[in-house]
Amino acid sequence: MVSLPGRDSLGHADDRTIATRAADGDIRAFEILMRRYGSLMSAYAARIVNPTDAEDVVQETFVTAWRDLPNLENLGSVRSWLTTIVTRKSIDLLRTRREQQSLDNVEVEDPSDGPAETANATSLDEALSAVLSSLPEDQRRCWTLREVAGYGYQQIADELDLPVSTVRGLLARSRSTLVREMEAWR
Amino acid sequence: MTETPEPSPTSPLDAANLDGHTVESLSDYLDSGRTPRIEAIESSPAAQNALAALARLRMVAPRVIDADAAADQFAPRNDHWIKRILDQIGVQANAGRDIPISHDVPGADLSISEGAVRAIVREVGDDMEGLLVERCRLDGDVETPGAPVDITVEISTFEGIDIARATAELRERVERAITLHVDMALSSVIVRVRDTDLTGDEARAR
Repeated sequence: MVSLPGRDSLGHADDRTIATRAADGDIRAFEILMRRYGSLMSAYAARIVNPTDAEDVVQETFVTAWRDLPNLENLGSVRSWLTTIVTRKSIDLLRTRREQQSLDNVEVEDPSDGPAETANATSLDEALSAVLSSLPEDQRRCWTLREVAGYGYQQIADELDLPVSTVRGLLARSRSTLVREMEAWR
Repeated sequence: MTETPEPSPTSPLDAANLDGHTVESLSDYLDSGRTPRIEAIESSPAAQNALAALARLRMVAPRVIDADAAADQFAPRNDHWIKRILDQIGVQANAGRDIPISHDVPGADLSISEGAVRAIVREVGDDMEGLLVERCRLDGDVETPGAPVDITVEISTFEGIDIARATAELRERVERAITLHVDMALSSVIVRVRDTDLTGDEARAR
């Protein structure tokens, strides 16, 4: 039985304990939360905005989390709570970008990143990650909001300012591409 | 070197394999929990095959993001982002009420924030082995000098620690620290143990 010294054991404590301390004003505990979930939040954001904007979204996510953590009822669910914030912040950034673009009257291009580099993938998850990266941005975004964040079609349409029919079409295309890759791994 | 499979030339979602259905309509059907039952889909082997593929994809979807996170696929390259956030939130720390401190300096108005008192209590706990202070609450009219104040400390302990001894010691140390740093009429220190093994599954899995 190991008795750990309190000061060093914070990093080993479970989410609820860390989140409770952070909610009570402990910045060190909050830093542990950021280190624990920074990569996950970046991965979420990168699939909805784009990798270069992900860092800003993650920053805003944690600043909001710090402010609102004292109001979180179930502190043990801090992980899923953070993912709802990062999804929200990602959508907010997209909206800001849309408004800027309509002001600047810029034609928005949505190029695909080209064929997926799945040749080096050593697992299904990795291969799907590569395929997801190769999808056109709007397909990737819709798919992530639907399948990972659990948004409904109407909600996605509202948030992205798209007709529901467009969302359905984008989802069908993204699913077709991802399923093709997934089937190759069966 | 692992052989990476070539993408299959055909997919269950190819239009030719959908028996007249569409990916959109099959996705809708899956989303609706396959109710009300659509006979044309249920009786078509091709449509069933496509539905199964869509369901499999749905199952692995969260794993893709988790895999990205595990591989630090999109993670910032260094710790600057953490410092930037800490700088930003440091000024927004929730300090709570102000507790006046008695002193001999005429005209000066000295106080310590509730947040600072909570930090002192955490520090006391951190200096002890096998326990963590989770939360600390001050009950009473802390803003009035001399008014009695209760401090409730919630802690969790690691497995194997003598809880009775640890809580007694913590209580004593908190009393000493508060008396030393804060001029407050401390009427009691209550220690509550929330969890007797705070190394949860999430932390263990790391």
